[in-house]
Amino acid sequence: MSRIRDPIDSIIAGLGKKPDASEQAANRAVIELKKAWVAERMAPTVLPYAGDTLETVMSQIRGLIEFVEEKSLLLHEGDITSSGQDGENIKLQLLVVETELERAKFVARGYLRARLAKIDQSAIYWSTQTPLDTPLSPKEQEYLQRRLIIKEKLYDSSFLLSLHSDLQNLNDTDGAVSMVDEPDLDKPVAIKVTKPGLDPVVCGNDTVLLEHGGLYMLRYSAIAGLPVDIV
Amino acid sequence: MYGVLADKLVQDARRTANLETLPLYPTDLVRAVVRETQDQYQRALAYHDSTDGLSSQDRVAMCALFVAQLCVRRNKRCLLAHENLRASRLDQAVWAEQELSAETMSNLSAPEQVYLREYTELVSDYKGEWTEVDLTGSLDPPKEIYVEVRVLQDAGEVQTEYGVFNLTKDSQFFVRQADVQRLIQQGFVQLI
Repeated sequence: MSRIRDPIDSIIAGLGKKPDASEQAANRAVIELKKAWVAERMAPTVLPYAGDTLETVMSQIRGLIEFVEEKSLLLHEGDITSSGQDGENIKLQLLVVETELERAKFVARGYLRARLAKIDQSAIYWSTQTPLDTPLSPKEQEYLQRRLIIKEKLYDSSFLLSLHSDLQNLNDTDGAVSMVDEPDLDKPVAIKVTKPGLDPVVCGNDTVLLEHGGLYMLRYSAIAGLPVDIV
Repeated sequence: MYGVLADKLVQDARRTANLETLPLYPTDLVRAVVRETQDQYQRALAYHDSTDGLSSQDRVAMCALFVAQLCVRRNKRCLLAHENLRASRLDQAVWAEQELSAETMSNLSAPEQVYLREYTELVSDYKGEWTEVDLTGSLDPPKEIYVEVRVLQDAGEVQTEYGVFNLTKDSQFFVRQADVQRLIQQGFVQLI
């Protein structure tokens, strides 16, 4: 009986324990990143890069990977038989930690991929932003530059070079249709207001009062830059 | 009639969008559209010269110039749209880490093959900055760490963190999902 109870007791004991400051910061970071990921998925434009949060999550991920490796090594070395109580204990810990690890990895991956998808979508537009205005991280800018070069090369060698030199541009904005695809800032987004006392925003012909904690569906252009969560 | 060739190209793109794999690159069609575009552009230039800019009152020539210009623009747009669709299909394959079959590879034009190689390089470089999170991994939220998989084709031995297992057709394994993600994407095993 005690063999079965012990691991459960230790988990229950662990529940009551207050996580220390660094653990709290790490937990917050994953939640923050998850928020940033959701916002990134919903917003029509690329949002400012959450570099610090991502870095915290990354160091947490590295910590978890280390933990998993250490514990698995213990199991493999055979000091602890995997069927014994310690072995069961470690296996349970591993299961919990690995689940957490996969989740953190998924959020980080989703965040980075969501940004890349939007960068690819309007590549020429993002490349025209000045370094001060761009929300892209240095790594993303490097990716964008290289991507534009290889794509231009594809168009050039496929047919553009056979056309008259006046027709070889990829960034014509005159004429009926602009060739530079810009993010549609008028896309509607669902938002939650996170600060009290905001000025009313103008959306189309209407003025909307933003109440603290309220949920609204507005055009992105009306609320860009306000302290809101995009949900 | 002007524009018919480019229309064929658009039809080809529409068909491509519904196909599993990329069809043969329509070299002749693209070349024909390019030729037509060039002809039209020369015509437009000629009209432009003969009407001395836009000040002329000769409405027939103005109209001809306008139509030729529209035709040129439309052709170029069709060419770009067609190539862009094919390129985005290649992008998808790169991100999903799918090996293109020899048949699909032979359907690509030479510039497309270069593009595929260079983009694969770029993605793996960018991925290298984030080795921990495995950027090309699954974009579905993880549900289980351990999953039951069935082997679909013989693939010899596979080394994972927890040892080696032998992929023989129709055998089943209970393994960590992260370890077999690659094999699932490549179609060697399937989730049960």
